Amino acid sequence: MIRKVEFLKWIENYLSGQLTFDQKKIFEDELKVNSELREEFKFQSEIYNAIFEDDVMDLRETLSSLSMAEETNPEDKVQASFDLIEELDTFNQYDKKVDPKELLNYYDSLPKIHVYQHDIASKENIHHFYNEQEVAKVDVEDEDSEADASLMDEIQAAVLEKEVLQLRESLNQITHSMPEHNVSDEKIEKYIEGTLPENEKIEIENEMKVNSKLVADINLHRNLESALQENDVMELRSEMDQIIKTQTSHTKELEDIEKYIDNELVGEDLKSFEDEFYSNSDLKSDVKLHKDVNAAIGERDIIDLRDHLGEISKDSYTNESKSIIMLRPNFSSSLMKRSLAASILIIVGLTAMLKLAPVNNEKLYDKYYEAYPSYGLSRSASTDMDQNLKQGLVLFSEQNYADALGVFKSIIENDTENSVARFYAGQSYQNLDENRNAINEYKSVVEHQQNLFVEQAEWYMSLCLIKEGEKQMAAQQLNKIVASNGYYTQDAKTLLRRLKYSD
Amino acid sequence: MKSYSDLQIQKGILRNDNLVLQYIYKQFFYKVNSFIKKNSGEEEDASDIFQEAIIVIFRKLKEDDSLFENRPFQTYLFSVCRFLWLKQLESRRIEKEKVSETLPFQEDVYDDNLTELVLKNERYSLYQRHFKSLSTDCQKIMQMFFEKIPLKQIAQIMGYKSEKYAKKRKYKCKELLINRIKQDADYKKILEDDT
Repeated sequence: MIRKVEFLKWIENYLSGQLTFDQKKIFEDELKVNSELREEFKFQSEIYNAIFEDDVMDLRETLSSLSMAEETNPEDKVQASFDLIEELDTFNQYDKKVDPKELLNYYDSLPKIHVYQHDIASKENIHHFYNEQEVAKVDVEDEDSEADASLMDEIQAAVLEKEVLQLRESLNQITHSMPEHNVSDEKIEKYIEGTLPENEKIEIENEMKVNSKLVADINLHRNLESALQENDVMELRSEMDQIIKTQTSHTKELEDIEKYIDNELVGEDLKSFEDEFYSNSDLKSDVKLHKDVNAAIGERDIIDLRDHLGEISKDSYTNESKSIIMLRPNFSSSLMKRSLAASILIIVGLTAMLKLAPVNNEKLYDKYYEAYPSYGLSRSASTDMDQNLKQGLVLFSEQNYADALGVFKSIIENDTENSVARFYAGQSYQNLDENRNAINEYKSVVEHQQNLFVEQAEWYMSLCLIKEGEKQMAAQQLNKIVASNGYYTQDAKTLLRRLKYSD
Repeated sequence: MKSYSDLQIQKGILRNDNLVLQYIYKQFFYKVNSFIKKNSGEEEDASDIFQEAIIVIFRKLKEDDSLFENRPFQTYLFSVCRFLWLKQLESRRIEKEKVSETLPFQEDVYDDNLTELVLKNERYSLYQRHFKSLSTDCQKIMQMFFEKIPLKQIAQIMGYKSEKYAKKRKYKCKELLINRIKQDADYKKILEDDT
């Protein structure tokens, strides 16, 4: 087990190849089991590599290219009588001086790096350089052309301004990624808890006076606790997250969108809608969605259906989700009343019936169940809807369920996603008293989601389940319908209550 | 859609009412979105800013529940969003003089208290983000620790053999968390802002 405080030393020695064979083995074993060491090691070796490969290599390259440049101009060498060249020569030594091993020796101690930098800085004092340059200029005027002098100037400037700065920056980066103090997290924690021995406490406090990073770290520890106890904020954030992910943001109701699409918006309403429409991409995408849904159903269908629904009061079909549930309005008038009446009848007799044999269960079901009208028929009359589907729906409306089923099945074979066919296949099965098969069809309608029959399928599925005696599953299904707060919610509630009492 | 009064909104935010939050999002987000997009931002920036603005308001409401007595919620929200975005622009070194003002805002919203609150929110959300990125075990054990649940019980709940191990685990988790925070570039920025 290598102690945490010794991590640095071990890693360093390992990286610089200073470990004996045995030590190396110990280290490598430890590395396998100690994730902390592993992290630290990764971090350190990255630094190590960075020092080795990037900074130093870069520096070396630039420096060597510099000396190459110098050599390609032999005249300069020959006339290297003035101080500038000597300065360059001393500079050349730096590529030896910045030996990575040497750097590594420095790097565990922050002050040393600073000292090192200062060392470099003092040796390349710009001020000095300019002084010397003055002298150099005099020399140049005496002995050489001005062109050479300016070349030397440039070399000098480049050396001082780019490479040194670069080196300084690299070293700075290293400095920044080094821990700014050697007080361990554990100590900080104890310090905050007040369980640290007096002498260590004073030590830390003294350090705090001069080391702002330590102060920052201690504050971090202090803040952390209160930050992590803010459950309410965290919850709020995740809730907002969810909303932002799943909702669209605009102020228009579904109804307005439909009206806008149908060009029924006028005056102020239209203006406010368009103002928002052009600045709000969410509203744009919602309008597009509505248009797509309409297109999917087929504009002509809608118009036909609307004509067909002419008598129905406007209220009942301009409510919240008009476009999605085009099929409902028919229900909402006479049929709905009938089915409500039916459910009342059922309520009266349900308790008793459910307790009785399945035969009676079926009676209940028969009363409750009404074949779903084949609206598709009226819609298809004037459209080019799939001929097969039309044929199937005709057969279905003639109560020729067996043949209708055959047609629907063949449609599904070619188009497994065809929810209309699937739903009516379910209906046909149900009418043929093959409830298990019906349930399967309804299930796939529900799972498909992107269609207009989900609610209906869920409802009929629950009826089938009752008929099959699967009361528990039926109850589950009904609960789901209740929760969805849709068209069948009320019926589902009623039925559910009766189911409960019948237990 | 049901519409809510400012008081209802205030209460809704305080109890994380999903419907109210949805309402706020539906009503106001798109305006913030278009403001940010007009001022060198992306859709993602807008979501972040909007979310943080709500949280800043939440924090503010916890301090002062008369917040919406003097000014409407909408104005306050937009002012905060604008403030947060300008701050963001500053840190991205984008000139904020050229901001195209499409949001109505009130200058007097921008007091020291708000600046402080926003800074605190920045710090805390950073810590919380890293906390959430820890393993669930780590999160759980640290949370229990903060709630001052006895070590013995923590060890029991987590199925550890000894209290000592629980303590060690907790320490490791915290150390990991602190390291992650310190390595976060945003944390360095926050430190720079503070000094």
